[in-house]
Amino acid sequence: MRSPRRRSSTRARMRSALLYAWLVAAVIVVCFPLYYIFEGALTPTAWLDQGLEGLLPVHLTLDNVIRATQVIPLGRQFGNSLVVTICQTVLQVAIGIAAAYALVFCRLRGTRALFLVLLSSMMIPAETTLIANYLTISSWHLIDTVPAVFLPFVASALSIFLFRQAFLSFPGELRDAALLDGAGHFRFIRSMLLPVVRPTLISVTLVSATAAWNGFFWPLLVTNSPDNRTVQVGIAQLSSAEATDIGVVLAGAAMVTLPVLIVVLLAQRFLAGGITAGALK
Amino acid sequence: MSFRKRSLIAAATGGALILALSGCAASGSDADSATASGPVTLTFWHAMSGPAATELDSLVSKFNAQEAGKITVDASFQGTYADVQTKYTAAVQSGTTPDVLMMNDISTGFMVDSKKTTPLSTFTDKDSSFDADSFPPIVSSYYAAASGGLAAMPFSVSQPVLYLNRSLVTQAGLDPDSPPTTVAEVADWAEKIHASTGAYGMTMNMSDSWMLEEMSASGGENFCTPENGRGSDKVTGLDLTSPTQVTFMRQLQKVFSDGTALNPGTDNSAMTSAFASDKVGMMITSTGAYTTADPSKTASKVAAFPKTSDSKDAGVVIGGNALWISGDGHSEAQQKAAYEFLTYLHSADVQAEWASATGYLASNTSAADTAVGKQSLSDPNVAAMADQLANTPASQAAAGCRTGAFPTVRATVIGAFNQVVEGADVTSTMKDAESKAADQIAAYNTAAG
Repeated sequence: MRSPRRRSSTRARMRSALLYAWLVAAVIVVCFPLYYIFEGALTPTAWLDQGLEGLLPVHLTLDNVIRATQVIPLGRQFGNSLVVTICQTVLQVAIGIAAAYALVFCRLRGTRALFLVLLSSMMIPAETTLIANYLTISSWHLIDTVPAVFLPFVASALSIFLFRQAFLSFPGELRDAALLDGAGHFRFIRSMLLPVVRPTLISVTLVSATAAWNGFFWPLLVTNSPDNRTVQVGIAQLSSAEATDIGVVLAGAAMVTLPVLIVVLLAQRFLAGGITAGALK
Repeated sequence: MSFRKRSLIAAATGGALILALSGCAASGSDADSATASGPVTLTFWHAMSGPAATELDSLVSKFNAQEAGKITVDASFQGTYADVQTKYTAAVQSGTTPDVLMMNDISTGFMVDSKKTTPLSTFTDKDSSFDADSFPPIVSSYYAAASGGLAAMPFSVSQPVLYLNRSLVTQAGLDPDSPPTTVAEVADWAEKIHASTGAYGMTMNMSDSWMLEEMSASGGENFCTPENGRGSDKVTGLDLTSPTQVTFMRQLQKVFSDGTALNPGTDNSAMTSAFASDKVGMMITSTGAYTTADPSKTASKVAAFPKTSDSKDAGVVIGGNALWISGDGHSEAQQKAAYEFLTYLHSADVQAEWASATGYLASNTSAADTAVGKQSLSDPNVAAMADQLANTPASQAAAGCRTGAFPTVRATVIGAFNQVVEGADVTSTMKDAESKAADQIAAYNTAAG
């Protein structure tokens, strides 16, 4: 004898069991590559080549990591990557905010046309500007220096665009009120505008930071000596098409992934906060 | 249609790169440092990664120690060959080309067309100690300059060979020590291995048309017309539909479509590890894969690349890379020092060491007489590779095709061949590829002028 209530609770339990099974499967799919990178970084290549057995973390050693650091000056390149990422992100965000602010609030003439020009620059594939950028950097005698890696990217049309869209939804009355109370441009931006557009601020920062950290071809193009290169370019030299030492490659990949992972774990709270702030507005 | 358009654009871009190169005189940023008779610093861009990069760095340090106070070579890794080519193009325009550049086999046409390097023969003509016979004949003919002599210094040489997994082959009741010699026999063995062991019978590189080029050469057929680009005229098209080519493509079509052969797609390292872990009976790939394919050096048997006809021109095209000396904007002292560095890298001892560390074949025939060379050749598999290289005739077919449009047309041909292994008709599909490739080559030739 089953009561209807009992049946519905069984059904609910079934449903949640299925949901959890699905979530577990999703977690495995997402986490497996990370597991493989970190497990592989600590397992000798001879074991990794065994196939499935190589996935068991039973032969852990730091050997791969040590060999990777012998081939390339990883510490130095880590530092370079950090400098490049911080400079590129900070400048891109600052310039993005300033430009979008001017476009939206300053009531200048021709801002629409200016904005269209900005937008159209997003349609130009990066490959076509590669050589031109190289020639510019080269004529400034900056080839093989760290600033050459981030200088062409300190302003980004995409960041300006995203900030502009966010600023447009800011109520004009609030701004007028702030100005009446004697707030200047900077005070208004800092105390009123940015707190309101925090979701955009956070997502633009994260997008430009990951792009800066992951950059490969441009940094490769403008640097020559290992000491001026970023870690992404450095680890490229670890792998080769025909004779690959998988353990060493994974050790390099693990060292590049780790900082991003830490940043994401730390920023998770803010990320979630940012999303709800946007939802409740 | 859109693919065709896109690949045409790609070919034209290749040509435009050349145009960009020739339209601009490099201003010689390094020239000032070398006008004096003091020490010369050479920049050297290479594309070696992994264990080969470590070995190259140690060879360079040895040279620097040997030439202390006179020449210092500053070697740096510049990414894949395609990356190096882009970077070189940018460097030509800004006048910051390296003194010595490493470039891969199939970019030889591009480098010659760019006219930014000094042919090696300019230096070897004046050097009485240079021995033109120190190269295997096919190596000299691959890098031959139009004006005679060599265009660049061959450095790393490789050839494809046939690897047999001893245990799988034996399980199938076959004798690995009397290996198949033709593609037809390889296909036959592959069926037997697959039927009796359940493992794949064979595999080969499928990421570009390289294997098809090699099998054309091993039947004495030119891959490009006219004359593989080795005569006085530029290449204008491909030849993919001679009876020999159609026959071997049908044989491959059968083993790929019935599941006997493993198609590794673009993942060459997956192919090598499948062979190393006993999942494939036979593998046709570069000599360079030896250490990864068979770390113990006893589990496999290396045999000559299978032939597709008994033509006397039949041979195996070499791969690898060569070293180019920059001309424009580089002083005579720098170029001379660069030549000295190249002669060092060509010396018998260095070539023996480079070959034993990387799996490339020595491009200096005297390397076999050095202690390191003798040690390497005591492995019968390495000896088989060296024999194949030494015995390759210097025929036009075996010299291989030379065109600056090569990187583009390779993608076209393998695209067509992938349709073939899925079951498309060989002759009509490859005819289509011929006409598509002819358009791409024409676009490159127009742009390159």
